[in-house]
Amino acid sequence: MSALKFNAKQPATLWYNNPVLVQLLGLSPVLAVSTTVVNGLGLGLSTALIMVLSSVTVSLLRASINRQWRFVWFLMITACYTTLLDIMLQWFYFPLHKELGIYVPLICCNFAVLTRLEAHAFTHHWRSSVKDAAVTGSGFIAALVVLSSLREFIGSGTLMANWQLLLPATSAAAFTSESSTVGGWFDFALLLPAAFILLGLLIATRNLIDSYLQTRLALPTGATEAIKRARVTGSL
Amino acid sequence: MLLVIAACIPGVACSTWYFGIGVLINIVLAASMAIALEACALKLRGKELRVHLADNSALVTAVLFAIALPPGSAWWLLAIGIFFAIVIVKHSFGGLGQNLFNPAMCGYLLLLLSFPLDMTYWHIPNGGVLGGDNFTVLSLAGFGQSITASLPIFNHSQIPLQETIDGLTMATPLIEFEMGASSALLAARDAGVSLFSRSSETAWELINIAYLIGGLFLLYKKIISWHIPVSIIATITVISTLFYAPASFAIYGTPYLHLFGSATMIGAFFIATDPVSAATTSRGKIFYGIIIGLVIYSIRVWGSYPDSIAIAVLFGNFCAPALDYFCRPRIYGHGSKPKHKVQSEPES
Repeated sequence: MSALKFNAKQPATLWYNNPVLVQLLGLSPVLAVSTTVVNGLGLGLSTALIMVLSSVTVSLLRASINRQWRFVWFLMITACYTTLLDIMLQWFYFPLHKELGIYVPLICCNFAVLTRLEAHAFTHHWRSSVKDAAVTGSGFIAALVVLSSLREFIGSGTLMANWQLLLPATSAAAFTSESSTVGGWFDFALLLPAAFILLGLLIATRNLIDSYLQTRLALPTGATEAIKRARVTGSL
Repeated sequence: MLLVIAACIPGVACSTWYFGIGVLINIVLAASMAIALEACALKLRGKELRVHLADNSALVTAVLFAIALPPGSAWWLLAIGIFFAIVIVKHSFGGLGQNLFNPAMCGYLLLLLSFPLDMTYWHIPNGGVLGGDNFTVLSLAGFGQSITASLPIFNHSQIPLQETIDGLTMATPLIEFEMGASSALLAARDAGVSLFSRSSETAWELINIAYLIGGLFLLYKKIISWHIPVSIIATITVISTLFYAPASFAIYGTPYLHLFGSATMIGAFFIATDPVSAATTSRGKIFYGIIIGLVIYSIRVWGSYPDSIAIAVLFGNFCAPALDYFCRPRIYGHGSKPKHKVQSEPES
């Protein structure tokens, strides 16, 4: 079971500490947006960008942030960056912004971001924080891309449809402005229950590979220290 | 579990008589795939095959699932649905006794949401469409047509069927309200048409009566308790009587239509009474049946689906844990007068 090994204080890694597949944080945008790869990629990149920017800011300001009020500071900082990003997306990537909808403003309360700020950026130098946020953000992007390509392929039979949405809006308009039809193959995969089922299967696959790696290849588990508890009644 | 399958026999025989051998092909295909998948899932979970396969629960799931599908459905449709029912809905939740939802209806609803066109397309042999008292539905030609519909590997082009087929053999007559104000059985008798002739539109009434007989057999054998079927049927009767007006039966349908012109009987006796996913206490079962009856009627009349047994049963499954929590039977002796007067503690 990798769930027991999860510890937010651990250094961020793509595989052992993936925000979606192991920590199960920030799931609502993941489940809602992952109907097409382009949407998943757009939201993943935005979230990673905000993760890096706010990590650096928190890390630089950590001397002046009051410890008791740190979450208010974290939220304010991420909200500032999210608002900026929202406006920039509307300016340069308006078709993509229309597709993502409410989930761009919601990045500011994504707990995959806030956990990194609390666990790492608040106590580390900014160079280390950039690395940490970048690794976590790429884990977020990777999980989103895998899940959304599964859903898009099963649901619509396409991959990377409407890729022109990732270009700046003026270039995207040069291609078809009509977005191609979504669905038509196995429509259930585009609905939310299928997102839950497929995410569950992805997590199960990840755990299966993980246990295989540990038993057959005797790789380290990634857990550098055991979880400490206030009251220990037995070994965990 | 085998008794449940035995109780299905009259209904299955009746629908085979009207809709051809495709009904039986559905059941055989679904049952074989269900048993194979069940064996695979048990093997993966490290359970003993012989003990767990012998409970025949996969067989019952397969039979109910196959009855719900249009006859002569393609094999891949059955395979996707039965895979979802057995592997995802049943075994990933912990196997028999742990599944929150009715596996057969989950598989059916998955297909209805994903492939609405295939799920409303009835592959009836040509003889059944053209009507008349001939026996072409069960003849060799009809048999061949049903098999090519089920196994499209042999014949990639879809069989062209007459346009009238949708009007005649839609999932239930509810969508057309064809039966009007009175019973088609009585109308056929008045018109002097044989009840079992395929031109008399009595098919769904007879199929429902056959399932009612099967359900009464289950009640007699005490496989199911009376609470769920009686409360479902009573709810549907009461609410459809309330909304029924002779001038507007085209909108709301008659109570008789809601009971016998649809899938009510198989839903009430066979599907909603699944002992795992239904409520378990007696009072809970009555509320469970009432909820299912209300949802069935609401979706039929105000919803966009012609019939709604599957959605209603899944909705009931959602409610079942809460119903069991609120309808716990009273502990023995609770509330009765104490024989000895309890000594009150001295006030300090």
